[in-house]
Amino acid sequence: MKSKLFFLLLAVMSLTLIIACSEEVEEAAPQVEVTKDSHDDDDDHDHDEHKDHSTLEEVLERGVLKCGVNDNLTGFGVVTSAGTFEGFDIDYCKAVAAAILGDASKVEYVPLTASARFEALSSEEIDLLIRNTTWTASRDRDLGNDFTATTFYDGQGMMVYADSGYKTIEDMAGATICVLQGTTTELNLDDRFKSAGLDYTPLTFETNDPLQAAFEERRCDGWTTDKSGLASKRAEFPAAAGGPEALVVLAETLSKEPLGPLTRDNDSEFYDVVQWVVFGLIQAEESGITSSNVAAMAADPKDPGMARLLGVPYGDGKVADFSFGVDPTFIQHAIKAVGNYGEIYERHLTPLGLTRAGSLNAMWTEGGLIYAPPFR
Amino acid sequence: MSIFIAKLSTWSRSQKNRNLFYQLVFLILVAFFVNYLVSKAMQLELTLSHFESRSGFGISHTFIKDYTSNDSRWSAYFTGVINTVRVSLVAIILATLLGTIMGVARLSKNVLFSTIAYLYVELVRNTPLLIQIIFWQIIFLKLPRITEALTFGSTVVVSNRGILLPYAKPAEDINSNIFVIVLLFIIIISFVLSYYLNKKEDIDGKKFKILNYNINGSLAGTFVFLILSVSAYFILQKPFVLDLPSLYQNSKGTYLQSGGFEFTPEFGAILFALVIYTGTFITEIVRGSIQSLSKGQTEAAQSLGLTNYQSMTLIILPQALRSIIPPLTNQFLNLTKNSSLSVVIAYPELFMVSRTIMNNSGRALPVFFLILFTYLSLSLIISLFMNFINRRVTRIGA
Amino acid sequence: MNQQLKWAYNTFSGSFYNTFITFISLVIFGFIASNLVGFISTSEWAVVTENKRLLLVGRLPQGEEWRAWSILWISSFLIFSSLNIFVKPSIKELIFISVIFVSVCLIFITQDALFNVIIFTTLSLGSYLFAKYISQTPYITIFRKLLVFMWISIIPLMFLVLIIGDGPKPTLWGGFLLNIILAGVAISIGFPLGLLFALGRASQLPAVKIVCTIYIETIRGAPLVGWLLLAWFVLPKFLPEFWNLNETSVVIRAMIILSAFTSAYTAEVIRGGLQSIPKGQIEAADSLNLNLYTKLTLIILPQAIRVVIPALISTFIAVFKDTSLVFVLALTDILQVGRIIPEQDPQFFGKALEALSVVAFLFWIVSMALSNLSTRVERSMGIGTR
Repeated sequence: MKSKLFFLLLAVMSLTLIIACSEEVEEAAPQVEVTKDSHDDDDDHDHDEHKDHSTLEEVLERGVLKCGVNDNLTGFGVVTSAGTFEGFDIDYCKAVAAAILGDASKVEYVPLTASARFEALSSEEIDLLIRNTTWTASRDRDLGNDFTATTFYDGQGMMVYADSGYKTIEDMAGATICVLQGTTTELNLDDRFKSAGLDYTPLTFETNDPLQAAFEERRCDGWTTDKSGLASKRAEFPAAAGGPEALVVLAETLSKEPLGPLTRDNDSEFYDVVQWVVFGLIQAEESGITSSNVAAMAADPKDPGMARLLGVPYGDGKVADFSFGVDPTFIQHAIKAVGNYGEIYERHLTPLGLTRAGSLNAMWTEGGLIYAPPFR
Repeated sequence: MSIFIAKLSTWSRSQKNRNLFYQLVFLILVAFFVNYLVSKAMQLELTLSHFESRSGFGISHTFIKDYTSNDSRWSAYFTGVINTVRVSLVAIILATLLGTIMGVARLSKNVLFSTIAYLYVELVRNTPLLIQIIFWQIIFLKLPRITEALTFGSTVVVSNRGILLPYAKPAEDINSNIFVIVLLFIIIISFVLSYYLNKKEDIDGKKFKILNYNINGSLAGTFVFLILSVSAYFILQKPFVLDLPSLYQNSKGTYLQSGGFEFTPEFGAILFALVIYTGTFITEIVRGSIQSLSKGQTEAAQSLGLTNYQSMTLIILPQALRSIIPPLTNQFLNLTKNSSLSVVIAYPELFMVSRTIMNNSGRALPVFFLILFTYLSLSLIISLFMNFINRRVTRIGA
Repeated sequence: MNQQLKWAYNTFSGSFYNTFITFISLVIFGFIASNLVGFISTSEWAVVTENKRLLLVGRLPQGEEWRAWSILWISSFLIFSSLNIFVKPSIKELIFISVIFVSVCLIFITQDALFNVIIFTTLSLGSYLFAKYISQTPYITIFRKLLVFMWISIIPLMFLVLIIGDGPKPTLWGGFLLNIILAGVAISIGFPLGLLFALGRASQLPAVKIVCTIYIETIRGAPLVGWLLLAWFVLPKFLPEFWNLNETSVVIRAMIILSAFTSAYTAEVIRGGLQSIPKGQIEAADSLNLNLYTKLTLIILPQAIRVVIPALISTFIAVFKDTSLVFVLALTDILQVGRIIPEQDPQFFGKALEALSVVAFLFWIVSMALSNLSTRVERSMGIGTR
């Protein structure tokens, strides 16, 4: 027993030593920086090894796209009983796989919790993260990610019981709020209540299921997450607990939550492909190309713009190749696989009661924010 | 050269020298391995400097330490540590109680009672703790909702937001801190006093007497403690006020509850799960230890005319304690580590808070080392304490 | 009659305390029974029946189920023939086993799996009867050896079945299959490693002793979820780059961590066994001038391991239950499936208890079987040593 204690002590001490040593590194860091500058070439060689080898090449070589997704959010990503994934975000994984590999089924889905997703991306567990993730400055810079484009404009909302009488956040002094761990919502919630000088208790859950159970039993007064999520939860709220009428989503939007796919920093080839797949699907909707008519359109493009988008020659001209590093017809493959932006939205989000017309997610021509830069 | 070989062969003939050589080789191999790990670790960012920055997230369960999102991440981290210690400590005490009762019950001649203990062990021990934690969370949510909360006057509020109990709250001045320190001193004084008196009694072989009344050391200690603490409380102008829980409706007509000591469903769920799960292992330890005692002990106790209860508490358990404590220590360590599973419900202990920090900062490795270090230290403290108890128990027995 | 009454009086009453305890026990029984009945009468099992496949094999692709079924068939043959040959259950135990067996069949059965379940049933019964037949023939010794050999090679065999002929990626293994495989690998790698570390810790060479002890105590010092977290994002940075070891699949990494974890815990258990060996045994071996290897394999280890078999089995049960923690690595083991399926469809919202109770039941069967085995070994050893 005594010797065991001694060794435990030894283990603790050695760990202290490691931590202490790591603190010393902090002081020594500037010196290291200097040497780094002078031996830039050497350093790049072993430090950035994976970067000479871009993710795009890796995916092409591997023949499979590793996509980090949600398995636990109705509409955006769930596992079906057959063991496959489906949802809005999932369709984007399929679109990217179709664009790069020509086959929408060549995706390896990695289901991730909110708190594990960035670790997964930075440790190269996945190539691409499409998991209803909000674009923020710290995530873009500090966590070493690159956000490609927004696929869905969301905003953080607050859902409360209708009989609670809460109309604004200001009413909610002293309330208990249910929130997911490791999300921006957790931080926004705190910002909002702190700045209003309100007291509150955050109840932080790791997954949706226990959160919903707690909310149903009125363990918390409010449930805050993205408004899309709230809408779907509200629409499907079990009748036994009062049904949708028992709930109200407050009008206030606590924060902007633009959701979209993200890649690792300094990975521009892959980044560009993902970004332009997103834009391409938006442009397809604008040009009226759907999954059903894409083959016909490709055979006979209506105008040069459409020909460029689909990667086919217009008239007798040549194919416009923007040297994305993939087949010029990549957008065409993506549309064939999942349809244009409108179709994806229609398939997964409309059934949840998220009407598109009049929202931020309408086409820019209809007053929304869904807009693609010119494909030229 | 040949001389060298000859010398080497004589040198290596000694077992001691050969052992030395093996160890050297082994150590060199280990050193290579460690060097490899360290060199890899050096490529990663290892500082904890980001712990100084504002945490920015709220924590639902704060105990002893006040925490707001304006505090640093260190502060958040320590709130998590306190929550871990809190749930582990309570769970260790309750699990020991439950395990002892059930261990005795396992051997009870009352078939109903022993069946309950048997079913309890077999059902609970063989399912993962994680399921049990989620199960208890669901059960605790079945407490009355806040709109139908049970109140007992203004002393206790019971709802699935938490069970509120009356509690002593420090008044808003420095006296409360002084009182805590003074209280600590009083406790030490009383312990020393009772220890000294008991020892004296042991050595002299006669009772210590005041006015013909026998004074037992423990009794004297308790008495002194009560007198001193009550007088200190009044001398310091009542540094603590009674904090009564309340259930009220806000201006919108919504019920809220606050005040008092809060026993939340999340704390309850992780506590129950840990106690009931670890209790099964302690049950088996207690049962094994009692069974390992020779049957003659029970028979001797019975022949002395002791009741079952007396023979159990006076004869059997004290003896069994000696073989109980070492495996019990292991269970306590397991319990403390298992408290990290409360990530699945909303109890913000050390592991969960660290994960949030990792997620917000994006620097995982140093936080991981910190977690490791904290758990190792907690294990060490528990081991030291149990070692102390073990020494006492074996000494008294001998 | 009078005697039985007297027995009942003595057992349930007789003194105030005993009557009180009987009363309390009745209340507890009643409370649990009424809640159980309440739960069963109000529960809806669609969330489980629709997701049987997900619970059992996770995201194993369509058309690859035969791998899982073959594993089930092999193990049913092994389990049921060993049951007859090695365990020899009593009538009571046989009834209990059949109840469990029928409920397992009910869980497995679906319309398209009917054929497979029939094979499973016939194979199980058949191998039990076959073993019964063969135990009366002279081939019994060969059959015994065959069974032992198969038990030893069951984990590599499972792997082979899963991998052979361009099998699905390890990340697609899931559900209960994943739990079984992870536990199997962790035990079959962790046990020999643990043996080494235990010997190292008991070694007389201080350097070896210190290193082994630090390893054991560090691993045991932090919770498994922490170590798994390490495997998730730190381990790849420490793995060497040759053979692309740094890109190993998460499942392999989970196996590494679980094996390391198992080895530390088994090492502690075995150390207890080593300490229980009387010093005279070692001195006797020394006086016979046996070398270290013979001394270990013939004298020390057989005795040490024999003593700790029950404790070893409980460690293995713990490891099996702990495989449910791989959710930290984004692996969908059966418990994770149980946690996410209520989210899959609005009609399943709030049906967590149903999903979890089935998961708990499956874990319980396996652990229960193992723990019964341990009790049996304990009992048979008790008879042998005393």
